[in-house]
Amino acid sequence: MSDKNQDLSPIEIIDAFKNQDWSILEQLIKQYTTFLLKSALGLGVRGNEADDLVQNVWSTFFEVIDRFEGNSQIRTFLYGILINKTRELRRENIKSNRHDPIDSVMEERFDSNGHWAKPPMNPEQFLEATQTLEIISDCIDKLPVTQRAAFTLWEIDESETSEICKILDVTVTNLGVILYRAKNRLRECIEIKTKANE
Amino acid sequence: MLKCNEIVELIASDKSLTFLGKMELKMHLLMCKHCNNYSKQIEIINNQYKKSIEKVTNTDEVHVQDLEDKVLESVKNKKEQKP
Ligand SMILES: [Zn+2]
Repeated sequence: MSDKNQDLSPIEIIDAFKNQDWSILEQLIKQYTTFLLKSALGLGVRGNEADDLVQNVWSTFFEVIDRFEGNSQIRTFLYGILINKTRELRRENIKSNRHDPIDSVMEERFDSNGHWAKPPMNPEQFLEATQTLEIISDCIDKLPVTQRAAFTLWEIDESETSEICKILDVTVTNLGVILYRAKNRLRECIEIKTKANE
Repeated sequence: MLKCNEIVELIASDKSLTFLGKMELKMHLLMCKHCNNYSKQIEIINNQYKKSIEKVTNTDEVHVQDLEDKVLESVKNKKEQKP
């Protein structure tokens, strides 16, 4: 995302929309569309579906702009809409995030004393298997939207924890759980695929 | 003393640790081969995840411009529909 344009305030945007000040709205759209498209692709939405999703996000943005609070950034607000739309697209509801089968998979990896019962594969083999990115991208595609978004914001955008929590609408503790699940899902998935290719 | 399953939780959830917490984690990783391997795997995942996402989020400038135009067009239409 480019930061060369100064951020418009919500009031400026609402006014521009009311007064049909297209140059301001064009500036806004130009400032955030690349970011939205990249985010959509990062969440696993591809091709025309990604373009439609971005259009959809903007259309919702202008519908709900009155509710936009000055204390949250436009970027955060837009990303929040994008995540909700992607969840809808994937027919994923927030409740499905409460229980994740990965938790019991991880439990089985340890004995009752908390020691490894099924230890992890050696990292050299693991690295070799992920070298082509094919395996990992297959595994990433299996992640729930929230986990994928959390991991992407955390690892790639290096966003502030508080901002990520706001976007995902979760507490800091929840965010830890989400990251834990995302990484362990990927780890298990990569191990299974690596062993299958042996 | 933290057990392996607790160490794994610290690593994967990226908890911010106190100085003592960091020391304990380091010590455990020095002594425990399995957790050490786990930690290396997570590092590999973090790196490869980044690369993979960068690859899929590559966008073409012309395509983005086209999309921006479409968005602006639909915003204009929308505004005209509800004056
Ligand atoms: Zn250990």
